[in-house]
Amino acid sequence: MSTLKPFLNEKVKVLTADGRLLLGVLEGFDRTTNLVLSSAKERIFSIDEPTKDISMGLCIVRGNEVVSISDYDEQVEDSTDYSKIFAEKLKDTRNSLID
Amino acid sequence: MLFFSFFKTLVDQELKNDVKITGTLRSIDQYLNIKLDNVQTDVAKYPHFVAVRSVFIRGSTIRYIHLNPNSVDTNLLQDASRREAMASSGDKIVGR
Amino acid sequence: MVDEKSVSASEPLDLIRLCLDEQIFVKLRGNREMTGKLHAYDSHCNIVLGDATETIYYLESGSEDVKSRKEKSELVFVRGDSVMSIADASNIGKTNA
Repeated sequence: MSTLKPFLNEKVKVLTADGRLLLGVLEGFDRTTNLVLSSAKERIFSIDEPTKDISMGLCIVRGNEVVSISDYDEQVEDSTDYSKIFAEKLKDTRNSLID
Repeated sequence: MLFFSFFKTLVDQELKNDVKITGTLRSIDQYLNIKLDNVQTDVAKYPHFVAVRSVFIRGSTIRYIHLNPNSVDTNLLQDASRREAMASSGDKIVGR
Repeated sequence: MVDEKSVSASEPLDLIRLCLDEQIFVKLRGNREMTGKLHAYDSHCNIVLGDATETIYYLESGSEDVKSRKEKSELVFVRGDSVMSIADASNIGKTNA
C-alpha cells in the first residue's frame, strides 16, 4: 500500500467523491482507505459567499468516498484569509452530462 | 501488475475528476493509489489545495495520468504488454 | 516470432493485443472519446496511448446543443474503469472531422 502512515496524527485535508473538503487529524485508516478524522470540520466554498467551516467532531469517512488525502503547511494555511476566498464547488467524480 | 511496475519507474504528473494535480511521483501501490510530493495545482481555482505539500490520491478516482514521453520507452511497454497477455493466457490453459 | 498463440484471438482482450502499436479509438465515461496509438494495456483495460487526442462533449448552460472540445496529450495513461469500448481506429474513420 502506497501508505498513509506518514499522515497519521497529522492535520490533513480530505477531498471526497461528492466534491467536499474535510479537514481533521488523521487518527486511523485501513486498506480500503476508510479514514477516522478527529476534530473534523467541513470547509464549504461558495462563489458568492465567504468560505465557512462547519465542525463535525470525530468522523469516519468511507474509503469509497475518498478522492485524496493531503498534508499541509500549517503556517501557510494559518496565514490564508479564507474569508476573502470565493470558489466554485468542486465537481463530483460521476461526470454526468447534466449537472 | 504491468502498470504497477511501470509507474514505479517514473516521475510525472496526473489528472483527476476534472481537477488537475501535478507533482513528483513518490510511491504507488497495487491499487494504483498514488502519492505525489511537491504538489502543484491551480490554487486560485481550487483553494481546497492551499498549503498542500504532498497528496495521496485514491487510484479509483484517477481518470488520466499524463506522462513525459521522453522518460518512457514505448517499445518496451508494448513488449511488456504482450508478455503479460501471454502469461495470463498461459495461466488459463493450465487452469483448464 | 509468429506462433499460433500470438496470432489467435480467442477472447476479447486478445483483440486489444492485436491493436498494440496501432491507432485506436476509445469510448470513455464522462462523455469522452480518445484516439491514439496503443502502447500498453492490461486485464483491467488500463491503457497507455501515445499522441492522443481527447474529445470531450458537454452542454453549455441554457443550451440544448452538445458541444465538444479537443485536448491533446503526448503520452497518457487511461484508467480502465473509465473505458467503455476500444476499437481499431482504421476501421472507423475520423469522427466529427
